[in-house]
Amino acid sequence: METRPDLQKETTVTKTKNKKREGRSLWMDGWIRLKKNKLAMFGLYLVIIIVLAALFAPFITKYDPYTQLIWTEGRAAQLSPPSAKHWFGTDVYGRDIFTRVIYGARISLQIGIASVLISVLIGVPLGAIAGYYGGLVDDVISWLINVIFAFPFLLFVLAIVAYLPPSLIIMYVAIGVVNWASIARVVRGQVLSVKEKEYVEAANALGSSDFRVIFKHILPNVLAPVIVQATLRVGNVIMLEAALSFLGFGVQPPEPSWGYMINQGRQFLLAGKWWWSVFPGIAIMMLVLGFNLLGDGLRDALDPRLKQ
Amino acid sequence: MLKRILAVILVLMLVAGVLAGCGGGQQATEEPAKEEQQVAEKKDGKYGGIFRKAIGANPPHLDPVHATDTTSAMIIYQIFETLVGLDSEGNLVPLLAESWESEDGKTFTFHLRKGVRFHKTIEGGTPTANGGREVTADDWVWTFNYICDPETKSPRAYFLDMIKGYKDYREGKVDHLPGVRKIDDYTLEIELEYPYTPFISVLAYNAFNVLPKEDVEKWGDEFNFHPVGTGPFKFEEWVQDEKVVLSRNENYWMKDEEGNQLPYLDGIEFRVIVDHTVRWTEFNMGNFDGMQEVDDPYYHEAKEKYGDSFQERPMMGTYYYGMNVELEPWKGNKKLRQAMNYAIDREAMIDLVKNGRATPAKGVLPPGMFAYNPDLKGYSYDPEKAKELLKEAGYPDGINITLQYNTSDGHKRIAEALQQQYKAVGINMDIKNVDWGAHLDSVERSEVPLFRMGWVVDYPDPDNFLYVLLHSDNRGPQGNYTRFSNPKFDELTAKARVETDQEIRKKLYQEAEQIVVEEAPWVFIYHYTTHVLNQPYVKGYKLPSFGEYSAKYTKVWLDK
Repeated sequence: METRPDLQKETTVTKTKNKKREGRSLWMDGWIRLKKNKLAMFGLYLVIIIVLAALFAPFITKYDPYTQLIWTEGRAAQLSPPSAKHWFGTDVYGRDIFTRVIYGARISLQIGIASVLISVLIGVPLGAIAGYYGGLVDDVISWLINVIFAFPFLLFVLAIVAYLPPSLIIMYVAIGVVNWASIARVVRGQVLSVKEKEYVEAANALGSSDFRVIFKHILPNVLAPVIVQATLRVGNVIMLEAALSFLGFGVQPPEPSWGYMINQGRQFLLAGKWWWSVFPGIAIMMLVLGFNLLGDGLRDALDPRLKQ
Repeated sequence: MLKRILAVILVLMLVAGVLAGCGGGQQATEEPAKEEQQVAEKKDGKYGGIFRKAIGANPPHLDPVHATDTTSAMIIYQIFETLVGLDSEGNLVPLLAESWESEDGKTFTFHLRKGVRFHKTIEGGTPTANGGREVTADDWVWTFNYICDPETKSPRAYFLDMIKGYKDYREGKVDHLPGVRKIDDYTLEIELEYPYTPFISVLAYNAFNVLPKEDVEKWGDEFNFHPVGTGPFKFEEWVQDEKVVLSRNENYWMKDEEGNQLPYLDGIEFRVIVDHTVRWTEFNMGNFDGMQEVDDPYYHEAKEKYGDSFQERPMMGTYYYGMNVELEPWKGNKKLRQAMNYAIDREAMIDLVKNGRATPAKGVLPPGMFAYNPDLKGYSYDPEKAKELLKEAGYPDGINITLQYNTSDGHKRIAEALQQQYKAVGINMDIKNVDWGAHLDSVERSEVPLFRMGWVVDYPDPDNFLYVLLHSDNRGPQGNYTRFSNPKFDELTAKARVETDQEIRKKLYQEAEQIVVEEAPWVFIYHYTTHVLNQPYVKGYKLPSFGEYSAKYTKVWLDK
């Protein structure tokens, strides 16, 4: 080492640089790395655009997503192709598809975010408890996680939704209840490694309660992978909701669910009326792509080791 | 160990795959040979050709005694024959009975046609057990005993429950059905417990065909896969979920007007294609001579392109939403039920959502049915009146209800349209779909306040609608799903059952129907239409008012 003065120089240079700079949190670091990732930013913009469209839907379109224009305007309003009046065309009832796609974003986002929140609320504590205590508690929880993983995901949700009356709330809960296992598994793994760290030992030595150790010292340090996992799950859940609605078990008409719109339009696809299915299909693709790119970018940004 | 098991499973899967591949290969080599044979057959005037028909489902049964659905019936009509038949207008016509008479509506005498023979060979020339012998009164006596035998487990035996001694026979008190008797070889007598005028119509139902005792006994349950009858076509081959092939019965009894032997066709091939879009595309490519069910998205194109060979006509059936009058909110609330009827614009819905392929329903009985009343006082679209009635019914601020329907794109399309119309008058209708089995089950158990339902005629008599669907004796699974009960209505329909004077029956039924309309246990929506699409060169096909499925191909020929 001593024979390599150039190397010595370089380390001192970085050291001095660090001294000049103000302390940067992990989150700030992550944000800077994320901003450099063009794909991830593209994902973020996609999500932001769709969220804004969903929030301000009534200001973007002058139509109502439920109004069936055929009763007043007759056959002219039925399945009319995309035009200046109806940007994405109309469906068999004369409803404006552009409007329904925008309002449909509300449903997809709601279900995506709400059910992932539910699975985070279940998965994080269970994963943390399993990882921290180990032993029998860990065995039981891990066993539960494996059971959930062993179930065919779609079938399990289908069974719940088919048995209970269809409603948005039940969809959130049904998907959330099935979805927590992957988050719990990530948290458990993280906690297993974090709990061996010196600062945890220190907290323990100071006599902190288990609750305090887990929530104050361990959880903040496993948050990054949870956020990554949750973002990626949102995309999955949106796909799942679309699949359920396509099969007729999801959101019930007349709610403008994208999956349901694709299913209805499918019957008219070969008759040349492509717009009814294609536009909601593109919308699903965009939103899921957005969340997945963002999730991947977050993983790279928050856990740089993983990339190397 | 685990690895070993895995390896064994993998090898087994591979072997299965290879075998399946071989099977497919064999089939592929067989196909062209058959096509060559078809081409080699020469056409002679109206004769010749195989009619290729695309159908929407695999028939569950070819044994008529067990079939209850229209897909099975479509093929059964070609292989088997009943005592009396229906012409394309729905009139009763002689079939295997040349004539019949009854003095009192209680005892019927049938004069059987001579020279009717069972199929001599089926399935590529294999001789049948009966040897192609003539049908006599003994066969009919045996057949009715066989159908009504509890051991046979025919789901349609109860249609014959008015035959004398039916109950005793079912309960094993007597060893044969005393009401069905042979007078001589060509005369059959059937005696009923009570006068029942629609009886002749019941006999035209596609379950009551003459069967050859020898073949039924030879095959047992397997008769379903080797059906033998007297019809214009003989059974050749049934590949499950793929096709049913029939061939010409050379010994068929019927001749055309010029005395030529019928049928004209060499055979019929029913090919199962479930997907609407694929069926439509293949028909357009000329792969079929006829197809079932042109779905709404392709309706206009089909009509434009095929003109007269796209046939449509009203069919005896009614599509309705039932309101269970014993459940809330319908219980004792006639005004609410009437509001449901006033709130919907049937004409616009049929025109815009169903491409005009239905007739708005004013009442229960479909047009074309005996006793159909064109002057029936029904409901018209009147949202103001609906709102008013809703208020009077005790729901000034609107009401929330849930419609249950069986999963289907068509039902969903209609429900979503009506949902919007109901919303306009303050009725918030949620819609919930369940599969057909679960739907029927819960409706039969009277658990569903509001449900979609439809009824297609079994025998063309108002009895099959009014008595079966609304008489209080039939509440529950027998057919009265709304649990409607009205003493006056019960009296009228029961009286019409035993009345023999058709004019009086007509009055009774019309009066009874008006009561149902007034009491409104149903949302009367529309009467079905039936349709068929054939290639323009298909001649001699008449679309029956009873439904496309009941068409016979006896006189159909290919002009190409």
